[in-house]
Amino acid sequence: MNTEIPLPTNAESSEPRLSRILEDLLKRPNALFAAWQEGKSQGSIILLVVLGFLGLAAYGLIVGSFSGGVQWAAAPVKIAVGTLLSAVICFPSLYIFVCLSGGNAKLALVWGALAAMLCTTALLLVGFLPVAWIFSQSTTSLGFMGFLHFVIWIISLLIGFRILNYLGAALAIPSKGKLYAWAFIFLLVTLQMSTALRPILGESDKVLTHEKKFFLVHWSDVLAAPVKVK
Amino acid sequence: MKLCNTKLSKRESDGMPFRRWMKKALQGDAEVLANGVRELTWYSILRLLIVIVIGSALYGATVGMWRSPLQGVYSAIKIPLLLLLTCAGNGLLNALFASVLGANLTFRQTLAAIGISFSIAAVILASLSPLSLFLMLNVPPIADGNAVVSHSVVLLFHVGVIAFAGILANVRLQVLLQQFCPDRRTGLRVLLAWLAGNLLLGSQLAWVLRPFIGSPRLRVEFLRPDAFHGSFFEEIFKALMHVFHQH
Repeated sequence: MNTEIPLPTNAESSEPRLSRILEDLLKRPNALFAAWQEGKSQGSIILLVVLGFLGLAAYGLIVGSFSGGVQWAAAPVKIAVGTLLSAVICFPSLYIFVCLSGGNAKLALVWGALAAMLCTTALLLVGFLPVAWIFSQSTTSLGFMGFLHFVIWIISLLIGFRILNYLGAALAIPSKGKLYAWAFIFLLVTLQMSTALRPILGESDKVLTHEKKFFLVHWSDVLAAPVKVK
Repeated sequence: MKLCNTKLSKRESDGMPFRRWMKKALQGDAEVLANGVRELTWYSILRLLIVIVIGSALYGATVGMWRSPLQGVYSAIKIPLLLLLTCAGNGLLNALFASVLGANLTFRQTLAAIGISFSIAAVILASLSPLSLFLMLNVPPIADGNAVVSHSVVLLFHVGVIAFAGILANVRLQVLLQQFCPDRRTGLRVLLAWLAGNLLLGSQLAWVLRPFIGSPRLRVEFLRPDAFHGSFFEEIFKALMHVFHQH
């Protein structure tokens, strides 16, 4: 027995499509899920990916403004592309984990949920832009700015993860443990990606480094190093 | 709001496309899993074999890649070989366990049940192979001064992932066994007997077929020259004696 999910009729006609999708994303993700599960509204997935990319790039611009120079261009590209790459790396396991949790989701729904999660995270990062900017222009401490961006990233991603909660509820998944495990894996991948694509925050004459390090090792090296200021 | 999430009846699950069948198997649909065993054909066996080979080969490639690309190729060959040899080698033993302990399974159905659980594990491993590849690209290489530490990190990661895939696959196997056993306790006994037998054979086959990751201190080769010398459990015993002797 399939349950028909009625799409909200009051939002269908008058509002522009973009604002309707954003409103659904933030207030009624289930409306988007229902459409994707039925194979409809696939264009909205692409729209969410594009919005997410732009939001991440905008935040990257503020990150790069701390050091300036080549980071004006490098930081937005690295943050946007790195996050999307992390999503691509983790997508197969998300689909399988949803299946293992008992959820009967189509591929389009899982893609859409991932895009929705990234877009939500990007929107939060855009919301934090003024905060990040003011500190970038005020402080000269690399360690402090790194910590601040880390905290902002964690908060934004945790709020983005609520999409997984909605997905689990929509699919009547009895236990969301595997989804939470996936969320933790995704978080780790994004943190490692930031280390793989360094330097993002500090000054450097190279766009990328070839030295391979785990992110915890990199952070402990940075913390143990003499205090660096701009 | 609930999206479609219903289990299928036997009639609905007959003739299901394999991809959909695999998805239902991952979800733990007991009827679908049981039909995979009851309605066994050579074509369905071939499809399971293909899933096991491709899924575990994808993951195997990432296992050996840290040591060298050639080790990646070797491991992509050896991990499917390990799974298939374990399944085939213990086929008779597992069928005997099933009969003796009270499961209503023939020899072919026992092989099918274990093949299904291995295919589920292979799909899980394949889904985690991009993650594994990403990690291998980020682990400090052999030439780095901390190669031994990196090797340990790589080893722990792969042990964890393979254990995770194995546990989930066996949870699905238990769901399947409940369909062929008179009660839950019988199903659990059969599962534990199969696990013990597969662990015994599988661990020694893994020892013979080593290396999979590749020690930084040894050269890259398909099999070690002393592949058939010693055993997995003897090495564990020696390591334990070494630890306790030190103390």
